[in-house]
Amino acid sequence: MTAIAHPSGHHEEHYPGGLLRWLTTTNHKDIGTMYMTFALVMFFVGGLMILAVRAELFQPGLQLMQPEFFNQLIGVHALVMIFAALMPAATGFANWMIPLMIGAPDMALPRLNNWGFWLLPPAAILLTLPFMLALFGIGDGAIATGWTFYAPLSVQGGMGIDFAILAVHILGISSIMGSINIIVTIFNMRAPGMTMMKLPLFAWGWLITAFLLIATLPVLAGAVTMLLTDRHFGTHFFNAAGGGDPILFQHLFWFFGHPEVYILLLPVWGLMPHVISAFSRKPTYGYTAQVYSFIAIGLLSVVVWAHHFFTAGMPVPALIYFMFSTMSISIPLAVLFFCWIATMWRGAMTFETPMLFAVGFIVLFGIAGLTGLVLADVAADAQYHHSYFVVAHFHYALFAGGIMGVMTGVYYWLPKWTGHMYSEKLGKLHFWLTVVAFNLTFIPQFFLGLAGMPRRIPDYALQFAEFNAISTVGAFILGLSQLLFAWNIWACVRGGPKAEARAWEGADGLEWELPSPPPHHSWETPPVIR
Amino acid sequence: MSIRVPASRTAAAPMAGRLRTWASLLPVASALPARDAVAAFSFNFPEPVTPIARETLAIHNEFMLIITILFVLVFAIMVYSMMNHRKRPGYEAATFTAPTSRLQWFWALLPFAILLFIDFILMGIPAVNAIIEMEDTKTKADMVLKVTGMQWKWQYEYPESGVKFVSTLATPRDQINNAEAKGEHYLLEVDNPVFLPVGKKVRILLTSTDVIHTWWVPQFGVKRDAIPGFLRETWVKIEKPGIYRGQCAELCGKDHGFMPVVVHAVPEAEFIAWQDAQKARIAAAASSSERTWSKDELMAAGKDVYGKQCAVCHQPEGQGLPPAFPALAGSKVVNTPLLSADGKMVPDGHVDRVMNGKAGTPMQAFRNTLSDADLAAVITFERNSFGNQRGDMIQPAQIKALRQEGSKP
Amino acid sequence: MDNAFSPEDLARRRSRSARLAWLIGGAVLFLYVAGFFLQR
Repeated sequence: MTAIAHPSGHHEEHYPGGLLRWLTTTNHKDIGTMYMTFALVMFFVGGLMILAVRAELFQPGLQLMQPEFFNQLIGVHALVMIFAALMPAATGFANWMIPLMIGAPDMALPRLNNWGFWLLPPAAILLTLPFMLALFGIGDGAIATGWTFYAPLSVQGGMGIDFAILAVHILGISSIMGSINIIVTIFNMRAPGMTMMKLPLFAWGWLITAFLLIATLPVLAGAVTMLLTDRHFGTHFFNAAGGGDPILFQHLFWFFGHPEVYILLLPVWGLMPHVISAFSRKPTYGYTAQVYSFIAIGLLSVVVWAHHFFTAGMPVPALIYFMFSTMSISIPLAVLFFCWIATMWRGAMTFETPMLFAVGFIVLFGIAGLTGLVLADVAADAQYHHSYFVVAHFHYALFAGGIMGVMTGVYYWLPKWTGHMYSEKLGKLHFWLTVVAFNLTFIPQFFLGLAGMPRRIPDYALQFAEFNAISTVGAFILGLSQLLFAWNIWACVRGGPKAEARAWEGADGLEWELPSPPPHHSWETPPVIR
Repeated sequence: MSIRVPASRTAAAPMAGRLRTWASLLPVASALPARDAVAAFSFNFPEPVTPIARETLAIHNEFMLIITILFVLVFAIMVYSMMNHRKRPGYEAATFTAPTSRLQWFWALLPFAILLFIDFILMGIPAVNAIIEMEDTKTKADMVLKVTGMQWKWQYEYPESGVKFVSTLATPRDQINNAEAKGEHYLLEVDNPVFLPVGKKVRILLTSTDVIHTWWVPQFGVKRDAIPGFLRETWVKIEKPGIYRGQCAELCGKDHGFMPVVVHAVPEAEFIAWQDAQKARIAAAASSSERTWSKDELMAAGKDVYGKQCAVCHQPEGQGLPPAFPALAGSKVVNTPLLSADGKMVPDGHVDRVMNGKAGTPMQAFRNTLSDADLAAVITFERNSFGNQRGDMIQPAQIKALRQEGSKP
Repeated sequence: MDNAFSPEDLARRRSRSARLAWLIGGAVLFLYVAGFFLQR
């Protein structure tokens, strides 16, 4: 390993500087950086939207906005967080880390990679543009149906829906291109000796994610295209009066929508073992079991979609099938939890920020998993469904599971990316504020749901007032504490103590064999795989 | 949601009190009433009053117990590890990556056997039983209630007796806009509550005229989507008289948060008396469409109907909320001729729009929900208000004739 | 493999990747278009 020669970056002189560098770059690290930056910016955009919503919900009565605007904010918040923050963050990780971790010089298709990223900003603009247009009296604002586009409400809505349909198409194309690139890179660019069963778990997690994206995004694109033709070209896919079926839309949407949850989470489950193993100073427990669990979750995720609309009414056998298939996901998921904890067991742990986030992730994501198990039950689901119980549940999955997972990875690899160590003190403060504020925000929402508060309402009955007030206070602390995160990253990019090639004592993996930051071309000569 | 058990709430009361004092420091909060009658912190489902709701609560409690035990067990192990397996001088981390002995395999596989048992036996069996009971809408049903969701109100129909009415939010807009103190049942009160007899199995059929709504009363344990063009069904058998409140649970547009469900569960005799009164009311409304109304009568009745049915979108002063909800003041549609020369409906004219709605928009076909007199009154009112000065009027009898004409020409 | 990541090897890997990419892309497009002919 020590004999790796890094021919000085004589290519670098040919790269344009300034803005043009970023516009035309085909380098996986540059593109990865752009994805991460974009995700961080959109994370704050989506966060601002939901803070406005929480402010409105602080007290009963309409204080800050009218219901129409409220409905727009909740839907665009979800679309932004899912498609423009979490998914790009995961793709950013993939671009930065997969070539480093599998010993490849770059992604297999660098120009496709560049295109995949540059589709994102126009899509984000399309998604939020209707807000601006409405300010100038054009149209009636952004999509107001929630992120689910349910027909026929979306057939009835204004032009914000057309914008969202277009944005989703572009975001989908971008994701599919990114996925294709990741699949072919993993298949064809591995260093000699890097067999599939030696592949880092992060790459495995992303491989399954990429296949899920390719299998399900076309279905979403198809569904929203049908919606578009229903809206403007007189078709009746979802109109019962014309022989269509509104529930067909829900089937199509959730055939994409449920795997989407795992699309957001599999990259995180992939990076988690690396972090836990590094800070436990102990090799990953149950590598093979985790690989097969990823595959099993991927396969199960495409056959459970209808548990998202049990209350729409379906035959009893269908209800029972979707309930049990959903419950079965708990088995491979429990394997992952078992392996994470077994990796810690009898290790030599220290708790730097990435490890804190990893532990926080495991506990809080555990709550998401357990409440998910309960939600799978059709009879109880009738009470939970469409209520704040579900809202709390999926924020435990997507904030504590998704976003805190991404933060784990960011803190873990930031020294590798920037060559500097971030402020450990700020990182820990960020962690504790995030965890406390997150629970302050969402634990009350479980109780609100049980008490009978429906989701997506701009105003509520008086018995929900106290919990809503607490939740809003929590949300504002949560939102503000993320400024620490942004500041910590910024400071780390600008300077800080020099990071070693192996920034963490117990870190294992090819990425730590390269200097921090790595040279412009990662592995020009292949590493030797042990 | 409405029937509260004060005894179980006493523990939460001091905390609620503190919070209220704290909240009342804020200027907006001064609009909040003293709320001692309404429990503030509730940590579980409201009191169940149907067999389904009781079963759901039992299942929920069982599941919560199971997952709490799982959570505590799993994370106790993790916390133990985090406390004891730390880096320290002279302590060497282990290197195992898989079970190595038979005993270890046993301990590694045991949790999954337990989980399988929990999933498919402990949780699965009661769940399947509950599903079968929940979906059994037809056996021994005593009566039928048809619920139709529409933006943003519920229509209730008792097919056996022909009683049919619309139920809309009764909370004044001033309370919503914080201009006056909020009442006890803020947002959970309606003008025409639906009555159901206690102890009877009621089969509930659901549908919708525009978008998907969801009919939900938490204390019934029942939540079912109302889907346009399709019938869905569920059932309730209320065991305890009382007033039960719920809400629409599926985002259905602008006023999704403002279409509550209020059910009065009463003894059978009281239910029959109520139903007879409703029948008499409907008969009176039918006979009123036979006589000729004066313009003042129509205007007065129309103002009332407008306030209940139209003002939510077209606004109290007819100014609308463009572009989604057009203004009626100076509206092109309102200012079309009332009827064609031969007394027929003008296509896309005012009468047509009110009676038949406009496809693809929240403007619904009010022929389905309003009586002849109500339609005549509101049309007359709109033509002679908000600065519109058509000066003409239409009689309930004319509406009745137009109904026979069929829908759109 | 002694010539791993030599220009020829990289070119070979890239063209293999491009072929696979077109194949997947084609499958995606097929899925998308086929959906419209789906009868329920």
